[in-house]
Amino acid sequence: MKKYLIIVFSLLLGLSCSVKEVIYDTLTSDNSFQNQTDVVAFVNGTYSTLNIECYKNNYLPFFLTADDIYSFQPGTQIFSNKSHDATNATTGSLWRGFFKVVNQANFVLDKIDGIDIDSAFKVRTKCEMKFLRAFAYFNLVRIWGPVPLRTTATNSNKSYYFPRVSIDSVYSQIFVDLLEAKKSLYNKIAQPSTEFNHATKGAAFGYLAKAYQAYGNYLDINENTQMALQQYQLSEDYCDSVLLSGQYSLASNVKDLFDVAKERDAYSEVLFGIAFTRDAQVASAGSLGSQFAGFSLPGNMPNVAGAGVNKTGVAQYRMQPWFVEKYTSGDFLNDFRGERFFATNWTNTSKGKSITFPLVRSVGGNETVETAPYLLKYIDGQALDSRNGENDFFALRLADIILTKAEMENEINGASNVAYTEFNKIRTRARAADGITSRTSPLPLKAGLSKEAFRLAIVDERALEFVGEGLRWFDLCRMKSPNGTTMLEYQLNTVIPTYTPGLPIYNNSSRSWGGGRTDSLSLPPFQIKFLLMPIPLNAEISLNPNIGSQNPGYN
Amino acid sequence: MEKIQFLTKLLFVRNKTLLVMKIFTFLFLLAMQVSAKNYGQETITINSDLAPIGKILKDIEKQTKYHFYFSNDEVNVATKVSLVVNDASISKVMDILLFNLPLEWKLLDDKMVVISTKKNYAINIDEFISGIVLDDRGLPIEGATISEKGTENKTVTNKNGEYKLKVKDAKAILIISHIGYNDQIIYSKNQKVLNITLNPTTQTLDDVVVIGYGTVKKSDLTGSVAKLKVEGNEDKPITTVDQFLQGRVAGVQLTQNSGAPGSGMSFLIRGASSVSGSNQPLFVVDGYPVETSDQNLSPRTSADFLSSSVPSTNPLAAINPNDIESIEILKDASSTAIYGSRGANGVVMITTKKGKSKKDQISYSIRGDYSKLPKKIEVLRTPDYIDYINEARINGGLNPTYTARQKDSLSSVSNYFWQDLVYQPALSLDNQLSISGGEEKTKYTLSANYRKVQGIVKNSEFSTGSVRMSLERQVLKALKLSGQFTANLNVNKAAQQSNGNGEPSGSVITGALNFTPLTDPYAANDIDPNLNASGNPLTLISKGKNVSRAQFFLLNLKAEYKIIDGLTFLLNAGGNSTTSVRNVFLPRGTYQGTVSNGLAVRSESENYNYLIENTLNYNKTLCKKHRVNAIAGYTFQQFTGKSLGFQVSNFTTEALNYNNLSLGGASTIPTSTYQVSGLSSYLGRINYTYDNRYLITLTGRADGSTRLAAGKKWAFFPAIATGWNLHNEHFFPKNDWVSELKLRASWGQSGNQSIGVGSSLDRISYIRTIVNGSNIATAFSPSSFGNENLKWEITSNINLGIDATLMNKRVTFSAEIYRRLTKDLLIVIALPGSTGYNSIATNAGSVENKGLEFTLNAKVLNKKLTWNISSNISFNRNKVLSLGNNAQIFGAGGYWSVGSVGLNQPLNIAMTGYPIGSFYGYKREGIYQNNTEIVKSPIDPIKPQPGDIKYKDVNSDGKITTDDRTVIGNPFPKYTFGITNDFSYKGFTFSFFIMGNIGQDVANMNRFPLDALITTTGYNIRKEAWDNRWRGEGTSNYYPAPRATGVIFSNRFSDFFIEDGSFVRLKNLTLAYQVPLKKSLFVKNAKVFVSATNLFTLANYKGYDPEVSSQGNSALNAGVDIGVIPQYKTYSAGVNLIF
Repeated sequence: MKKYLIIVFSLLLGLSCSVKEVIYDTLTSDNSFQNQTDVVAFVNGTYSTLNIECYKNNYLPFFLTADDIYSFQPGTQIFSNKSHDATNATTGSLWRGFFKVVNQANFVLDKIDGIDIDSAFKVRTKCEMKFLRAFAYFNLVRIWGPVPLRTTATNSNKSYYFPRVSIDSVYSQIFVDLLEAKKSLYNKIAQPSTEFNHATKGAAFGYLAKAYQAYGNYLDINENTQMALQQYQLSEDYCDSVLLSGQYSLASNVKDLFDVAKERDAYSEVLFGIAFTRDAQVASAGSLGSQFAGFSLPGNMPNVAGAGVNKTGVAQYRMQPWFVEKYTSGDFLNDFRGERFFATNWTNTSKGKSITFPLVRSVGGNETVETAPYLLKYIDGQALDSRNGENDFFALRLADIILTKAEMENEINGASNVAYTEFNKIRTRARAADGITSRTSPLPLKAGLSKEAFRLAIVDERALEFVGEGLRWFDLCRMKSPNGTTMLEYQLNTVIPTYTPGLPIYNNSSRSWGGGRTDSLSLPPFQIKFLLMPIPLNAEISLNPNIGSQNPGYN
Repeated sequence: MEKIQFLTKLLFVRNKTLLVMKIFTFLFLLAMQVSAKNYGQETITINSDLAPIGKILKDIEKQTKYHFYFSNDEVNVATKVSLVVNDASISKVMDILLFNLPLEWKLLDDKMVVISTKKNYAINIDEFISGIVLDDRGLPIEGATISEKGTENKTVTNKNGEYKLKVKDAKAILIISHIGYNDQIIYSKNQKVLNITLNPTTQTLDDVVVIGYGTVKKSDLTGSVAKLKVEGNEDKPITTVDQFLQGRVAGVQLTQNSGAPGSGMSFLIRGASSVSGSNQPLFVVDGYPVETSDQNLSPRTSADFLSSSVPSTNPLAAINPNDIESIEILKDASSTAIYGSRGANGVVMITTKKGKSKKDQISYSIRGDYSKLPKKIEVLRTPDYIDYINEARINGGLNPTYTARQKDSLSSVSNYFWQDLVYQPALSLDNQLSISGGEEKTKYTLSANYRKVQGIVKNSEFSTGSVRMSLERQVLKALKLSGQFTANLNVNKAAQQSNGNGEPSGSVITGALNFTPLTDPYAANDIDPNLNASGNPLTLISKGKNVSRAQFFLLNLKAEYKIIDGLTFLLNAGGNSTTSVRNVFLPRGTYQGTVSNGLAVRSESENYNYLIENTLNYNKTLCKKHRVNAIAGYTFQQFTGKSLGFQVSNFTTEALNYNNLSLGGASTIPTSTYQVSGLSSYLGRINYTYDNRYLITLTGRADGSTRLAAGKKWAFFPAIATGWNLHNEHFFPKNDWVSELKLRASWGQSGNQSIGVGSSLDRISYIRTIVNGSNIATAFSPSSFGNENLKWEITSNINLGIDATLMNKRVTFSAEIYRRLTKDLLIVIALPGSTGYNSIATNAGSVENKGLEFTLNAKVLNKKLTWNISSNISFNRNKVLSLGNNAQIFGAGGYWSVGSVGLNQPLNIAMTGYPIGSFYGYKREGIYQNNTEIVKSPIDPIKPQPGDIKYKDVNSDGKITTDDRTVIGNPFPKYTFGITNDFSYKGFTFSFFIMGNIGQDVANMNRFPLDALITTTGYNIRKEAWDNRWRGEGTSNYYPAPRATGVIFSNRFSDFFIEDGSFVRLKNLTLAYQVPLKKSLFVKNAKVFVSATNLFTLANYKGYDPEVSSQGNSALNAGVDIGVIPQYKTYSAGVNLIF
């Protein structure tokens, strides 16, 4: 007995257990990154971040800060009246979102060489990741200027605290990435349907054109004209690469381009878009649907955006009256785009008529009068709720490339024939209207414009063509105005003061609009801080001791 | 304190009397000797050990010329005495012989010795017993106490071990006691001389303290260990171990999280050391470290807002407090280092009842409790409510909503007081049955209990039943086997509470407070809840369900093999498993139920762990003066946790609630987890005592954890402690004033293991994405990266202590001073956005706790009426010394995030220089009385009007911004105390227990909407706020004016909600009576009792109860009162029978 006991005890004593960590319920970088399917999942995850964290909930910082759209809702109003500061949570989330894209791209780039998969796929995936990294940085540098530059995934062996690098260094990385990306990405036509919406060679060319343009503008504003011209030339070259590729064409008419039912066809013109879809599983803020329709359309306009039983919008923002007035008159009088992009009259949920500035009541009519018009670009009558619609975000359209080419040609050679030809392509398409009835307006651009005048024509054309597509603030910040300042300063200090401040006031007896033409709160005199967003306090400054200085004008 | 001074006086007087008596006796004897000296000539030699006096006298007669004359009536010849004399005179012989006997002698002529009764004794009813007290080696014991049972007669032995005790009864029962020796009881049976031998104490339960992996003699203890004997608690409505500990032990602060039955308590042993980890101590039941996570008993795996913000349930609910024999709490690192990485928050050692070798004994007790809400919060009734709505509208320049006529008619028609509809008096019943017994080789205990506790919120109930078995068998002379088995099943039908978002339909408590008196609670049939009242709390009560059912098993087997004398090998192996299922159903009418068209949630969890321990124990006294108590061993424990959860919504019918989930139209993707972690450890300890005077303990444990990265897995936790038993020093004057005095000092380290499983690995999350333009698919995204540098959080602890036994052992006193320094805090630090990650678990910063603890126990009276006091008071100061790169870490942020209120921000903060979990917000400077004051004051962007709160511009930048937030309160008490008074008189025992926490702040967040006086909430308001509202200049500087528009408190958390949470509470009052029974009865012992719990509380608090911690064990979210069920006032009665 004793002997056996001793044997048993000695065995138990010798028992020693391993402390190696095994994790069963969570994917790790080892068990999730093994084959092509895994890599596809990581690639898709990167696009998902763009959807959810950049363009779903957090697009307002670059969407409302120009002079065209203003918010009248607490919470988002701070963007349009430009009183936002570093503590703003949305700005922080957007910052985190783009850097998350950068990190996800870096993660795949760091890991992919370690696994044995189809080499063509591997090369193409690397190009796609570099494109997405460049895309994220192109947005980061335009929104915040100098930012930390990360080209490998964050891990515990490296510092978590990177400093901001110069704008030049960021652009340099963007160019390197895009130039590499363009080599092996699919052509639009060759893209398999499973990768629909993913980056293509055309998108890489397009963003090269846009990035050289923006960097050129930056150099130009900073009086480095010679180098700016080189960038402009490169930009025009890459515009040509897109235009000559034969992969893209302008949608035949404006109505179809933004018809949510024909969204897939629109991709003949869209070089790069962020996909959204009605999400039956998750509602509202967490869904994969977009909120562009819901946030821009009024609460009494039925069957447009999914809020409530009447599928209305929940308007968070409206059009500045001066903007609608300007871009529905003059050159743009009877321009179909004005009708299509601004909601000024509709049959409301009470079956009555609603009108806004600049329309007036019909004689003896009893239309409900509202003040400022609404943005009508995005409509989805089948949206599941106000934040769960189908509308994609068209980040880059061929129309932009065409106008970029015209702009670059003007910068290099003045308002040449080439510039006019490109410019007028957009007006031609605008006249195609809804595809049923062609219009005579807008007329082709008046000939013989000076370089400055042509540039202003570009600004105006872009203002209307891309209204509500998140480009206006970028355009105003990068482009040079007739007096050498940025176009944003020119608009706020020179153009806007020509309008009577204050919102219009409808005079029922004279059936006319008095009052002013601006939501003046949203159009304060220019300050340097309007050109860049503040580096977010909670998402970066208070956590990163090395981040360096805040953008000018913010404390 | 006065009582104690009185006591010392009393003792002093008593000692004086004793002294006078001694002197008197001495003089008397001296006189006798002097008178005898002139006579006796012949010498006598006799060596007679305890012989009858008659025989000795005869022997003397044989030896000498002397003759003895006495009457047999006066002299009992059978009285045994000892007489050892050499060549002694007759007078000396007689003096010795009759010493202490009630006799005197006289030499009449040269040889006639007359013995007769002492004259003095004739008038004295008392008798004396005398003798010598010796130890086991035959040496006299000085200072031993001899007392007569049932009287207050007692004396102490002199340096020769001699004593003489006046007794009342010739058949006195003597109790002889001395520290270090077993007490002896002697029946005198008319004997006048009793020489007694005391045996040194072999470890008995009272003198032994359970420490990690062993026991130690109390006198050899060097660490800070508090011991609590748990007995006779069947008369208190105690349902879990922690309730028993509350207020009883210095340095242990326990806060009831919520009053709901089955709800947990927050533990803080010597302050909070971990910012993001749990501060719950390690629980060790009969040597088995059990896993305690409230998630195990009440799983919450779904992400709906109700699951994510409910107070934690009690992880200790599975352990029946009546099965517990004693509890030891290891507080300093010298005690906890043996538990290494799990010891930093202290260790609670639970020893369960074991069978004793005596006759089988059956004990049964039953107790009934009647509980009710101790206090209602006055909210507005209809007339006031209508005035409030009207005044708010008038203040905003609007027309009043109600006319005077409407006010009258509405006041008579609808005037609902919702708290009356939600709360009920509750009845509970507790049954305890135990059978135990054994003989020399086998001992057993069997116990069972069933308890059903009704909640004071209607339709809530907690019921639990458990069975425990303990068996011990001496198989061989050297081998002892024992086993413990516990099984528990509990069902918690919980009332829906919310500790965060505050949505009234998510918490019956906020619902009952916030619903207006005008809202009809019932539907047209006056029975069903009114579903038109969105979030009606009665929907939750009558139709909502939240039921958790948990099973708990603990099996523990031990084999103890004695290798050689003093050396024992112990194998301890076992398993511990908890499985539970939680079912929730929220019908339409509740917030979530309405959104989801009926919502069912099902969560399951399965947790088990197994343990293997091999230890070698060496316990021996060498060369009389060197005592060694040493242990070395290896242990391994592996933990497995699994869970499953999902939600079903869009119910076609709610008739079957969660019982048929197929009736739901949609469900979420289920979540499931499976985690395994392990701890491999080597441990050792040497406890060395020299001559009962000098003590030293060296402890070490090396822990290896699966949870840490390779290269960082192992850590060593050392400790050293010394002690000095001053009273055993030769120079220490032996006296009754100070019979024991011990000094202790210790230093050591222990760790905190709360690192998430997988923290050392890169983790990938799955997210949803769109492929092919419109299809939704799953994709991957790196969610966090492994921290290869992650290591244990280490707490270093210095402890100094003094223990004293004073005043004839009637008073024991302990004082401790400590400093705990926790370094390399396990913090989930927020990462800058530019990293692409939100956070990482890392080590950064340090926290300090320092404090003082005093324990004083006194036997104030020990006559027929006994009165014992045990009391403790402790002071702890907590301070964050650094947080690494983080300037601050905020606590949970979702307070009032759902519904119309919308505060949605954290209340607590960890900041360098302040306690963890300090309240952080705005300061107020009263109410703006007029426009001039507003113009003169810093610019507030909310554009205040007269009657609005004036916030302080803390940073003096001329405007009110978020930068003006500052630390506005401390959730931790300045000191805590507890006093227990036990009285017994004949068969009655009476005890009361008072406890208090003083100086802590509470954030009373129920007041956020209740005191807002803004009608946009749609909620009722508190009467005090209404009565004292601002009505014009100078009317109020605290409560604002009623408003019909605006944001509640401008969405600012301010010191308006911070209240002094100090309270003193009569926690328990018990009266019990031991029913006198005839011996022949089947029942051997019967006790009936009544008790009252939480009878009254002294506090200046606007809410229900300042003892609240809705967020449970997280120090970073301490002291918040929101939406949780308050503690009850309970009356109990019952009977305890022993057969």
